[in-house]
Amino acid sequence: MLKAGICTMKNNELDRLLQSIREPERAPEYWNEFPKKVVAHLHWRVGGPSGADPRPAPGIRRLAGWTLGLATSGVIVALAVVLWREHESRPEASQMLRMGKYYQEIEALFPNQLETIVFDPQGTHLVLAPEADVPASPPLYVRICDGKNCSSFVTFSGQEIQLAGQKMTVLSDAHGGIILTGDRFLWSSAERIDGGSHWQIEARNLSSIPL
Amino acid sequence: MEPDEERDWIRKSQQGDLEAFEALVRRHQRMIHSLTYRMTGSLPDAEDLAQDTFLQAFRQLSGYRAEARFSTWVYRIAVNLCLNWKQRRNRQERLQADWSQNQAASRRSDSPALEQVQEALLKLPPKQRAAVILTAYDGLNHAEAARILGCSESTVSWRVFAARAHLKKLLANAQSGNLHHEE
Repeated sequence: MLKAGICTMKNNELDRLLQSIREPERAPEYWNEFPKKVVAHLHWRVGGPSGADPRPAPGIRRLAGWTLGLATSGVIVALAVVLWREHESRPEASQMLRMGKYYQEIEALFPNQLETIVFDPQGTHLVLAPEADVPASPPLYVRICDGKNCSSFVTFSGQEIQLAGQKMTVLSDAHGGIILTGDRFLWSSAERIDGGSHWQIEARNLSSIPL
Repeated sequence: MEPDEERDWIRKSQQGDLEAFEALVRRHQRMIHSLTYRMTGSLPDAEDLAQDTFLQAFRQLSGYRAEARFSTWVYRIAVNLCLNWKQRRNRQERLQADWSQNQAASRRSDSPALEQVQEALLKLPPKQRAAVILTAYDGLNHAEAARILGCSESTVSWRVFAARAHLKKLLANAQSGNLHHEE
């Protein structure tokens, strides 16, 4: 409590007063997640301790997500390597399960910011929105093979993915079907519509897989 | 000297091992958050500054020498960021609003006097605030605070002296304001 005659207060009294102020306590989860967030930023920004700070502008962040990719924590990187090794084979239940878990970890690190996780022949990349404003919706798994290579995506309805320079929008319908649309291209998991492309496409709703 | 475990984390982090760096962050995060919160009075800003502190620490880690304790070294980065943060933006109004909001939400049982103390602390010039936080809160002596602040011991002594005088004046004014309200 403040006493009368503050101007004559002794220094140790003032110090005690200062020390009596507590900072608001944060949830235990915060302390668990904070170091992971820091490391995730480091994965994204720099390759090592001597790297310069290339903190990009929000507009560049999206581009950086596509071009440079984003690995997150050590655990996630390890998971990505495993996933990448499995990538050449057809998606099996265990792989889907791992993708689902991978998605959960990334989503926990960047809530409402994740747009797409890309697994392509160059590696694993994240596409993050500049702000945490991506509407919550069930994650969708899309795998596209062109005969030589396969690329996989974990994304959401309404997001745009890119393959071999071609952009396509991923949509899910009310019955759980998944539709891919692009310029002169349409594919549907439910109706087996194929827009005539040479791609082999598979798509599933990841939320249907028990994690 | 750092414990062996921490020295190992530092060495591995200097080689780019992010898992080791995560362990360092985990160990020092509360201390840094505490400082950034006291310097800003805002939880979101404190979090941003704590994150920036560790990001900068990682980038500068190759220049870290074991002459200073790692905690002192990273603390220095945090203090400098807090001081620059103050210069970067004039967020005083937002800061005050955040502070009032935080207090209303988290410390309804605290006496108004303690809020006045924190408000007074936030009104100090940043360098005085840093000096008084390091010495009064963290219990560092003036020589240790000088190493962190990158100035001489006598400068720290002067800042602490000025900060205390300033705080007493601000608190007296606040109290007299309260008395006027009560009348």
